[in-house]
Amino acid sequence: MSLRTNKLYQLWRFIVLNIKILKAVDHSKRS
Amino acid sequence: MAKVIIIGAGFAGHTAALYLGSALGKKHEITVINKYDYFLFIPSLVWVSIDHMKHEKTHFPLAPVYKKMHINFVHGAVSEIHPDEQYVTVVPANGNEVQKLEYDYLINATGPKLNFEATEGLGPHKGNTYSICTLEHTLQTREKYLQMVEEMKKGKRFKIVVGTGHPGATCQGAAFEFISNLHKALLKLGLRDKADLLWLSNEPALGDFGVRGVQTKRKNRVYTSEEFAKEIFSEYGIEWEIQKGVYKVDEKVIYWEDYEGKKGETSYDFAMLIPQFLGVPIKYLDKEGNDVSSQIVNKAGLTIVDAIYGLSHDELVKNPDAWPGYYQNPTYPNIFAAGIAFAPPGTISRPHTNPNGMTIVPAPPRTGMVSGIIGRIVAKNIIDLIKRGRMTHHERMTEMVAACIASMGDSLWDGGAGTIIMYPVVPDNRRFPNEAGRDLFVTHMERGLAGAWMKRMIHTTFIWKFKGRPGWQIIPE
Repeated sequence: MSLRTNKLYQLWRFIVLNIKILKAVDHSKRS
Repeated sequence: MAKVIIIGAGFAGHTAALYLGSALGKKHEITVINKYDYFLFIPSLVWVSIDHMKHEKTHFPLAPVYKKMHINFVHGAVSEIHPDEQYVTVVPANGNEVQKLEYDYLINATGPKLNFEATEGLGPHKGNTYSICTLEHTLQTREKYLQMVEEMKKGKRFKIVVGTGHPGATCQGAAFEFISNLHKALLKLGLRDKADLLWLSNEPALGDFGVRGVQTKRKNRVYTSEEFAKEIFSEYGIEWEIQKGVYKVDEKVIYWEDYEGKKGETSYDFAMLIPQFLGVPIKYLDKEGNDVSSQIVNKAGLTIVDAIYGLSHDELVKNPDAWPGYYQNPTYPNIFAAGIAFAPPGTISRPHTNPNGMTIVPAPPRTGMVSGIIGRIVAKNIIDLIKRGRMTHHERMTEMVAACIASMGDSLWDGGAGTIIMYPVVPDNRRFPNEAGRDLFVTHMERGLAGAWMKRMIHTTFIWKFKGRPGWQIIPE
């Protein structure tokens, strides 16, 4: 099974992606 | 008491309305004028088009939300703006008499005029192609899709073309989502072998998406959106043709010119092509009734703001400060523009003019997140001006982050999506002196099932936010 469809790995990526987006929003000049 | 009018209730206008209503609604007069009486969550229309989501889940009535936020709502279209006398005229949707509404501050957030007329034979009304740009267009596309599926079941084969229908069209991301979802939907139905899928676009390179592509660091090397898109299209069996400016479509053939000026034809059975976007036509009149539109909008009808216009692409690349930060008209400082309605100083992707004089380049995309951020900045500055007399919010697209989640199958079990985080949206080689002009540590790109979960989560949380439900302000644009 590819990592792209592995549910456990994707749950990890889901958490990471959420953190990445929130960090990126914070990183930009949030006026 | 200050009067604020917002024209349009899309991502930019509705976001601005929520901020203005919650901060000023009780003491000041906030009015939203919109041609539809509902808010439409456009990013989910791709699922409606392939009959994977009921259209009712993508829209909700605006009036109850605005009532709760102390905002007046007028269902109609603005026909004239009188910037000297500070009023607009509105043609109500119910056919009543034209209304005159005064303002102290005006936000133009109309979104685009879908200019199908710029390409002969394009579009669902008078043309031969389909679109997923509006709810009505999406429902027509769904109907045609379901009809095609029935015919495929009987053995008929279709050539499906998806992409851009004008040399200067934008919104490649929506078209990319459509072709990816179409592939996945047909695969599930066991009909994928009955469709030849072709990507036809004006991008300078595959995966450009109108933002000069995206580059990230992966395993100690730079990984590009071109590789990303090629991997996906190769895996999905989707052919691609880029650097094409479509100028005409008839019932069976799409006509285009390429970078070298060569004219070519692509046959098709079904096509979903994004049109050129222009500003929504509104008359701008002074006290004497003279046309003053040249001071407010450019030739495309997009509102002139605090950008530096007239730079060549090379000059614009070197000058990230040419992008606007306040989205405020220099002649009439009480007029602001947000979302697609503001005039960008140029394209993000490199333009190319072929020997026949056709300029082929995607216009800068202003996605939901970018439009929402601009809506917030404009709203907060108007709140500042009313409360303190000066603006404190400023954010250029060369300083702005955007997260784009491109659906590639909506299923939460075996679907997927490409998640792209870009910082900044417009590359800034001065701050990030690498080839990409972006922060390679923040900029990120990956695909997988988690993206499908993200996309669904965004649908749910954004509908919550746009309904102005508790905590809406903590959900980022």
